Amino acid sequence: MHLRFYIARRLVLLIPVLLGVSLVTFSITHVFGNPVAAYVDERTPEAQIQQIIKEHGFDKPLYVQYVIYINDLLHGDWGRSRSLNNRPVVDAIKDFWPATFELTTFALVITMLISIPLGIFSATHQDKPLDHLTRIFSLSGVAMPIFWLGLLMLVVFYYQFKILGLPNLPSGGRISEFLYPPFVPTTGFFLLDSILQGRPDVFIDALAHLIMPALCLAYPGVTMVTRMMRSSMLEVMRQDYIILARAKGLSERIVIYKHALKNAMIPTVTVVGISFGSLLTGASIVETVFSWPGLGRWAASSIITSDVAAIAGYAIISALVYVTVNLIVDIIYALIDPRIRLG
Amino acid sequence: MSEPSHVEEQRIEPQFSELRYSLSRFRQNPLVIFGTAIIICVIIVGVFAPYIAPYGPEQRNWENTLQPPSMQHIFGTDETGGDIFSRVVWASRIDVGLAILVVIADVAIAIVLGSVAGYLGGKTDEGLMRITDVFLAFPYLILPMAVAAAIGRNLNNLALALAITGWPTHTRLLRGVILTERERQYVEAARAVGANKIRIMFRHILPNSFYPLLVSATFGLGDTILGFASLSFLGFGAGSGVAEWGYMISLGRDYIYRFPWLATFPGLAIFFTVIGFNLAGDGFRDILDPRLRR
Repeated sequence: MHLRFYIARRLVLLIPVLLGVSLVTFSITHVFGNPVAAYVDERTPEAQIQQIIKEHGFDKPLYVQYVIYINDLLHGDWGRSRSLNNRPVVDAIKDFWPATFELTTFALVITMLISIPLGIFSATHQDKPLDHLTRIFSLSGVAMPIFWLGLLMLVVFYYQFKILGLPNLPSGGRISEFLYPPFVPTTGFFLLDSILQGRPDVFIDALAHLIMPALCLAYPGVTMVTRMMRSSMLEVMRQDYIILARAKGLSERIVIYKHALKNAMIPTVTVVGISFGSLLTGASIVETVFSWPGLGRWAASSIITSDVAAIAGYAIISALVYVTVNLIVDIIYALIDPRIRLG
Repeated sequence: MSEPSHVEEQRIEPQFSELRYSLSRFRQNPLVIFGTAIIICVIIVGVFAPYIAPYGPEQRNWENTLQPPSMQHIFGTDETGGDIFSRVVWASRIDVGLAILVVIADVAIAIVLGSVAGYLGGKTDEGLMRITDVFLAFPYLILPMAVAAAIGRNLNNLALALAITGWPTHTRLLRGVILTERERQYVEAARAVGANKIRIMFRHILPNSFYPLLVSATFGLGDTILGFASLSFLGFGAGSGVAEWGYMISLGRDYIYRFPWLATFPGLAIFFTVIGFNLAGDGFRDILDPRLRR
């Protein structure tokens, strides 16, 4: 199959999935939850509630409501977030996403930078003590409650370092409060803004705030990709063409980096897509622990105010991102491994 | 045409004992033994909690708050004077107990839907798989978060939310296994002697799909315990003093710098329990992996 057709087919297959996603979030807000709650609070007068019910058709049969719901979604009316004084959900997402995007991207970069070399190292030193250590480390990732890991990191790198008079990392937030001259973000991506505005002090401050949450968020992904990289490398190293490369007298370095690595990377690409899902989930946990003002913390805190609109909005946006990332991963996969397109 | 009804299905005793073989592989793998030992310990602790825990799960002592670990309170006490060791012990009933219920529910759904999809095939299969696609389009835990928020925050609703959203992985796995199994010769043989579809499904295919489902359930238990504690930490589950690992950590968060034992011990409990289920799952998978056999 031609790559173009493959992509087209995947895009068409996306439509029922996205319809299904909307049906699920519709059930959450309209069937399990009370849809009116997304627009009112305790102070809303009865007359206004009746008007809202009329306006949004909450008194109509469910299938009509679903059509209205889809129409609203497509026109950017995702309800109102009561935890933010009834701000429209779409506006809240616009405000919060740069913080989450910066955090998850940074965590993804960390994941790749640590796990790929570590996986190669582990595979090329199979059954040596350091390989065992790496394997124990990667096993720990599946069981690590990252909210707990985050708290332990705070105890060590913030509190204990501070007590010992060592340079400590900040305990939370995106940036120190009293920076002079005051820093006004333009794009919302603090690292990028500080470079654009020529503020090295802000860059270092923002980076110091970012490093601990990003490491914590990256932890499960690092261990997952390391494990995948190791096993895929070991698999490739058993192939005939590697034996041939060695028999030709090529150095071990060239065999590993020029011959084995390229093929070992193929399955790893898919795992990166899956680990992106764990980043999105982890974001709500890590942002809560480190008071990071992003989408995840907003969604998680919405449970206290029963802000179902916020959490449903977060579910929709994260499903959209997750589906898109996996589509991109699949396309990359089809690009580097033509056999996939045939399937 | 003669009816093949007189041909009885004959029971042939296997020459090679599957169970004995599995057990021998089991014994060769120290990590699996370690994992299984953890699981057994956790279950014993949960079942015999009243005998193991020196104090009640929500017993308070306002004269003895925030004490560091000592002989009386080996894990220390919390901000209400509750004994953390006892609370960790009692909490295993909630965390592991509810996770077991969630996974049983998911596996039951998987058996019904997976066998329907795997055996009927065609449009039914296609439709069911598209439904699982939708559920898997949400990153893990985000859908249960939304469901739990909609149906109200308490422990049972959180478990319900995890069950509603957890079945697709098991279902897809079982459906895949059934698709492979149904092409096997023993199914053809059963069909040749006249066994009907339902009998083939329940007497032949499903028993042969048991091990992969066991592996997926074991991993599922680990994931569910971790997911349950994570959402509970965020405030989606337990409230007001209940002994539950994730909630205990969220209470301990306020005291993390000066009284770190409040959050440390429940965290260790989660970590080792989930490690146990993952090691056991890895081991079961290795035992079953045909590539490693013989």
